[in-house]
Parts: sequence; C-alpha cells; structure tokens
Amino acid sequence: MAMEDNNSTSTKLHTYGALPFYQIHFVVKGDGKMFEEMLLARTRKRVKGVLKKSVEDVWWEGGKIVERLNNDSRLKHLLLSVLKGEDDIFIDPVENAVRIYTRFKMESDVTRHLSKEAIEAYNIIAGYVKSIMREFE
Amino acid sequence: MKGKGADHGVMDTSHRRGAKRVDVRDEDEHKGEGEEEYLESDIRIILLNHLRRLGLDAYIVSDKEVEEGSYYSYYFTSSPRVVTSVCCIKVNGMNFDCINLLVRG
Repeated sequence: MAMEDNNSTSTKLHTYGALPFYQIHFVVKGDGKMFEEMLLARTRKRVKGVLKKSVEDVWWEGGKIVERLNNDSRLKHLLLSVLKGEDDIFIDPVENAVRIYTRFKMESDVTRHLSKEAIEAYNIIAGYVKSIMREFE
Repeated sequence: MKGKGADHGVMDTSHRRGAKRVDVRDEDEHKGEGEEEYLESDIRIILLNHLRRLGLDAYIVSDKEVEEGSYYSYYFTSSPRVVTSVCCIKVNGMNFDCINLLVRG
C-alpha cells in the first residue's frame, strides 16, 4: 500500500521542480519570420561590483534594429536601471509575432522587477519593432 | 461571496481590436462583508493587479493566435523546449499588442 502511495505521488512531481517559473513576453503581432534578420537582437551589459552591483554600460547586438535601439538615449537610460535586477532582454521573432522577454522568474519575483520604467522600456522596444515591420513590409 | 461588479471599473475596450475579453475575478471580489483578507495566489490576478496599480488599463483576453503559436525561435540557446501559456493580458495605449505569461513545464 505504501508503495502504491509513493508511485501515485511520484507521477505528480514536476520535472522542473516544485515551484513554477514564469516568463513575461511582450508580444507584437505580425509575421516575425519575414523580418527575422532585422529584428533578432539581445542586450549585452557591463556590470561593476559583486555585492553592490551597478550596470555601467548597456548595448544591443543583432540585426538592423540595433542601430536604432543603440541610438536611443532614453532607452539606454531606462535599461541601465532596469537591467540592474534583470537578465538580458531578447527580441525573438517567431512565426506569428515578435516576442520581447527576459529570463524566467520565481512566482514572487514576477512583479518585483516589472516597474514603470521597465514597461516604458519594453514599450519603446516594441515601438521600434513595429516601425521596422511597417517600414519593410 | 458576491463580487462588486463584472468589469471592476475598467473601461471595456475589447471590441476595438476584436479581442475577446475574459471576465476574471479581482482581488476585491473576494472581500465580502465580514470576511478576512487573504493572500492572492492566482498569478494572473497578481500580475493584473500589479499592472493596474502602475496606472495601466489592463485586462485579460483570450488570444489563441498568441497563446497557441510558437513561443521561441530557438536562435538563443537559453530558450526552453517545454513551456505553457498561462494567460494573455492586453494593455491599452501600448506599442506591444499583449503581455503573454508563460510557465516552464
């Protein structure tokens, strides 16, 4: 009987651990595959300090969109504060959309890093994605 | 345990772009007379209330195109293979069309 109980509980165990990990995607609809080479991009950052981390510099790497993203001083200013507690931001074009996201987070951290500045930064990035899609359609 | 209202005081603009609005309970909905407050555990409500606290006009929609399509292009090595869509949140006045919450596994 004890064996049966063990088996029934083991089937319920999650492959990735007991706690769920969440990721927030900011989705811009459109044919992402068509603009794949232009839109595929990610951030890189130079961090100073171990205990008291500070982001010294942020830049974008990837397709044509990075020229516009790197030239935006407001976005850079926002990213310097947003990426302090975040991983890199990725722009990932898929079949029916372009997805902008960062790393997976624990349930308690999902809203912690989603500040007004972070949403403004994602909004600016989505704006550039939309403008490129409109321009090269 | 009656709710205060179906739309929670948020302007219904779902008809503008053809998105189907889904009625989701609010954290205030649980607080009936004489009832104690409790910790909200539904991640959709937590995220929705957080966005509303930031002053955004956010509501949950059901968007099959976003929720059932592919989530990653797999050009980045950190992309996981097994993910599930939890919900889709529409925010009015933003350049992105919606916020899609995914859970690993």
